[in-house]
Amino acid sequence: MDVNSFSNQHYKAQAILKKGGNGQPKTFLTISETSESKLIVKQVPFPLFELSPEIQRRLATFLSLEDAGIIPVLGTYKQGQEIYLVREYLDARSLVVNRIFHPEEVRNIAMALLEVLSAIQYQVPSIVHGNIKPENIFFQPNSSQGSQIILTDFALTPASKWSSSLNSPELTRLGFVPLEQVAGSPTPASDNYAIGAVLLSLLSGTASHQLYTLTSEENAYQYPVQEILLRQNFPISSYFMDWLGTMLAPDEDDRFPDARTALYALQRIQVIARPRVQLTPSGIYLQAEQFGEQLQACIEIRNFMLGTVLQGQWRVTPYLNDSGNWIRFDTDRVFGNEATILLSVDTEQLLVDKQYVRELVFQSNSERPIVAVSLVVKTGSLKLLARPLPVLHLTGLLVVSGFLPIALSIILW
Amino acid sequence: MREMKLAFAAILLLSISTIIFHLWPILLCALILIGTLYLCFVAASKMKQSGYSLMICVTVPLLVTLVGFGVGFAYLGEPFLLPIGSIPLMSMVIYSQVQQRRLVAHYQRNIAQLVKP
Repeated sequence: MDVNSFSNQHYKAQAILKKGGNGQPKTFLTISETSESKLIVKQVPFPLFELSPEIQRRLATFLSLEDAGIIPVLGTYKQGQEIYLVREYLDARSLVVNRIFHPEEVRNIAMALLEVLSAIQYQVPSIVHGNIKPENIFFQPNSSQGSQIILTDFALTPASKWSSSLNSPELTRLGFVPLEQVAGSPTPASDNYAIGAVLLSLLSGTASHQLYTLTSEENAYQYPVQEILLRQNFPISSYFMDWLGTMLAPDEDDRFPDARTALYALQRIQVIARPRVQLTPSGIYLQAEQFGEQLQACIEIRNFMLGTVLQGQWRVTPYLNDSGNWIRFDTDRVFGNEATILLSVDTEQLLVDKQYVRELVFQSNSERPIVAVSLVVKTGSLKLLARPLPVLHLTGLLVVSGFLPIALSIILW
Repeated sequence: MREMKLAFAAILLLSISTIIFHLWPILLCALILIGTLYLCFVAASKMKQSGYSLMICVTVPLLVTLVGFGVGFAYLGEPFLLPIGSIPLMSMVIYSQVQQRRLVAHYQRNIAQLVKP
């Protein structure tokens, strides 16, 4: 491969897009003096003695890449201690958008990315991108398909080991790079991890440089996917959560081995699914026998929709001036597909011999976001509960026990 | 031979009668004690079924027994045991009445703040 194939051209730098430094590439927006077209030139600091045959093969692969979903490298040239990669300028916006993406949008992005990667991974020679992050993924309006996902900035040296002290550009990659890549052995599954991290950042609205803060405390490469996704308001199916969990498995062996396998699995699952909730009973009647009695009842909650996780909250509908604080739930928040809630009613705050009708509302992420349960409480009287005494037995006991001292006195005589 | 048997049976009957004649107060005492314990148990069980607490179910029959003992001893001219059982029993009756009045007073005092239907 001739790394100097573009050295005879002249580029006029218009702007610095990425500052680089500390061994990181510097990116320029340039104008070719020969064709007057806008081009991106990436300056990679690279000592000559490190230009191994493997890197040269990778550079040659960049030039041979042909897919609608990537921006091809037009050429490379070497100047001094640096290698320059020249690619087309893309007038598109990247995925670095300060908003939370809808799961369906995320699914479409995931499918598009995996399709591009599948094509790249199945060509000969195969290549690992090694630098997938929102900054390197672009949307381009496409008249026929709406918009197209385009992947840029393949890592020149994805297999290089990371230094112990991370600099600022590396910090933006932290969270997108799996352990095996940090250790210097990237595989196609490493790109799956990066895609998983991108999707998680889009679903949670987390910026790239902060993504690593979502990892668990025990393992810096492990994301508590379910916990993160359940914080969002979208009804994401547990199938999709499991799929994303597999994409982001810290251990390479637990991940999808390549993009095609991940894509095949994603095509078969539903991203959005709403729980179907059933409350038993649908109405509660409680009767107190005396003033101040504490009444209790159980409400069973069940979710019948597979692949969903029910999340909800109980509240009492306010009625006139009554906030309903005499009605309590042992736990007002519900998380899970089966739960039993203990309802307590304090009749000490109510008038005697009256009937109270109130509405309990279960607000959840189910198909019916609000389900109401009617509560009727009949309060007791002021008289203490008259419990029958076994008068006959107690009288008998009084009489019989009265004879005991007499019998004893006869013995003692 | 027949006469001997009859004589032996008569002697046996006489002996048993003599024993019963001398031990009847002890047998009577045992019978009363068994009856007392049985009635205590039955009364406690019935109270428990009515919804009284275990403490009340045990205490009330015991106090009634104590009152019975007190009445018995009072009949024999020793009234010292009578207050031991009757005072706690009276206290329990009075306490329930006090509790009732306190409940009513509490309700009347807070009636304005109570939730309306």
